[in-house]
Amino acid sequence: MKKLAGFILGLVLLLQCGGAFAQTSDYEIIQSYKSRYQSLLNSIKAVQDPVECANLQGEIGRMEDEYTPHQKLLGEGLYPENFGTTIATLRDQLKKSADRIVLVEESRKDKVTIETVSQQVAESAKTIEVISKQNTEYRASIERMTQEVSVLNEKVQELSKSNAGLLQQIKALQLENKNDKESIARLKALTEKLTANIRERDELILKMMDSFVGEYSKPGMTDAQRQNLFFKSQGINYVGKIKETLAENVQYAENTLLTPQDVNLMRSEQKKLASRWTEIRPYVEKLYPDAQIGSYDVAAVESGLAKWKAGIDETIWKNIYLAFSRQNISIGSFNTAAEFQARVLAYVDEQANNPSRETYQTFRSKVWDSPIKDQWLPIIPTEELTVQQRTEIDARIELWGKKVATLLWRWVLIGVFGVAVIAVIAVVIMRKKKPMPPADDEKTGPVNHPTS
Amino acid sequence: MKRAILVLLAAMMLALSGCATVTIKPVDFSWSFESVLTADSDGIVRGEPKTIAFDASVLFWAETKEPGIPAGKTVRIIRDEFGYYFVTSPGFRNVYIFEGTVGKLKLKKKLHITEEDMEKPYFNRRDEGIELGANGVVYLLSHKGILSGGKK
Repeated sequence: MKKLAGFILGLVLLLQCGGAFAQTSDYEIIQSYKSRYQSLLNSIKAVQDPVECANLQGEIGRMEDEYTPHQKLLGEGLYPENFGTTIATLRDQLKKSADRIVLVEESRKDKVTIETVSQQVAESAKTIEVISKQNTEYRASIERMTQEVSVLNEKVQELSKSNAGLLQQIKALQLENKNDKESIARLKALTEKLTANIRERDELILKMMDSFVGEYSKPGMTDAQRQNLFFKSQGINYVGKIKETLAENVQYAENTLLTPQDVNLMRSEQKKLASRWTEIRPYVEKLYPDAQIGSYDVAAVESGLAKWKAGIDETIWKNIYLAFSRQNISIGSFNTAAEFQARVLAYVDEQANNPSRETYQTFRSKVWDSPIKDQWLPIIPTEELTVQQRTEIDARIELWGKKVATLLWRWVLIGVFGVAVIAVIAVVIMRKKKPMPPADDEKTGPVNHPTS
Repeated sequence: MKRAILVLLAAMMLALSGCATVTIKPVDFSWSFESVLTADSDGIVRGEPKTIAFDASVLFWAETKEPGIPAGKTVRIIRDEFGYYFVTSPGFRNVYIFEGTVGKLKLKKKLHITEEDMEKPYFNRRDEGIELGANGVVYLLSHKGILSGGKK
């Protein structure tokens, strides 16, 4: 745009210049000079660009060269000005315009700087506001978490103490090995209480973990603030409680006789805790002031989770084993699904070779069908004990059943045959011992024979 | 008192005798360049700055013999060193040379320049006289007549 304006200006001045050359009237020369002078002066006053200034500088030079031959005439025509003063005026004005452009440019730069600085100040103010807000939230987090740690700590402590007592009582009762109704009821009550406590404590720990994730994953919190929060809110106690809980859960799993429902619940809690731990682990690792202690605690929690999971599996196999042993069925020990299947198949095959109806019935009704098949097998994942393994066991048990049935029928047939033989013999003997019945005539009276 | 009156009378006599005898010469009445004046609605042309003002209607009547006010028409005028006014206008065939007298311009000479109407006539002051340019021809004029150029 500025270049076009410069071009048009140049064209106009050139046309005027052409006019000056074409005419010979002194009056016209003066008029054309005045016109060009005024036009150039206006352009100089309005110039906005250093490049245009350079163009106008050149134009002044050209005009000066062109009108110098008419210098005397112009001196009279421009009175009280003259040619020299008008050219000087143009140059002076051009200098002023150039200075003005420089000033404008500087002013524009200053304005940009002022705007930039103002913007920076505004941004800084905004940042300060955000930081202040974050700090307020951060202080609230510290307060909240410190309070939570204190309350939860107290509750967990209380439950842990109670659980320790309950476990002791359960162990003592188990050692007594009393099978009376009262002892069994007491053991059951203690176990139930312990199970409820364990669940309550697990819930508290989960709540602590949720709260932990909620506070530490807040956006805008720096690592330093997180570490400080961890330190001030005794974050290590969080991890300590998790470790303690896991250790007690392992003990609970190992020392109590659980129902399949209890085991199922415990397994779901273990999964929940493991999943929540996966979420908070990245924070925990960063938050420990001492990285070595942090690594140790993280490893301890993960080991606890693994032990707990193994303890739950062990409890399942232990309870299944007890289901056999309570019916005096000895199939040998097992700790995995594969071992369990091998043991059961070996036992069933052995029994099938020497079938006993009573043993089969006991095995089937008091062990296999319930509680193993209807209560324990459903809580064993099919990844552990596959459908194929289960089907194979069932098939072998069916075979055993068939053999028992065949044996039974054989004895039934033998019995029937024996009964039949006995019956025949008995009939024969009875017939022999029975007196001869009188002859038919004896029975009908004397018969008169003809005399002829 | 008498003495004072005598001194005053002597001074007045000296002053009156000076006025009557002072003559300034030579005087160059010429204008450096012509004035191009446009007649207003009354037919009056005025120089800028106001060097001369007169009714141009008479001039146009003299040239065209048509009555009326030449509003909007231009008159080109220049004065030579002797104080004569050279006047013409586009469309004229003559240049009118006037002598300025008390309150009027008196025709000194009418120079017939061309048989064709002058399209864009102009005057320039030159050392030799007044230059007239018209229809591509340059003339040199004086209050006595055409010195050079065109038909004399």
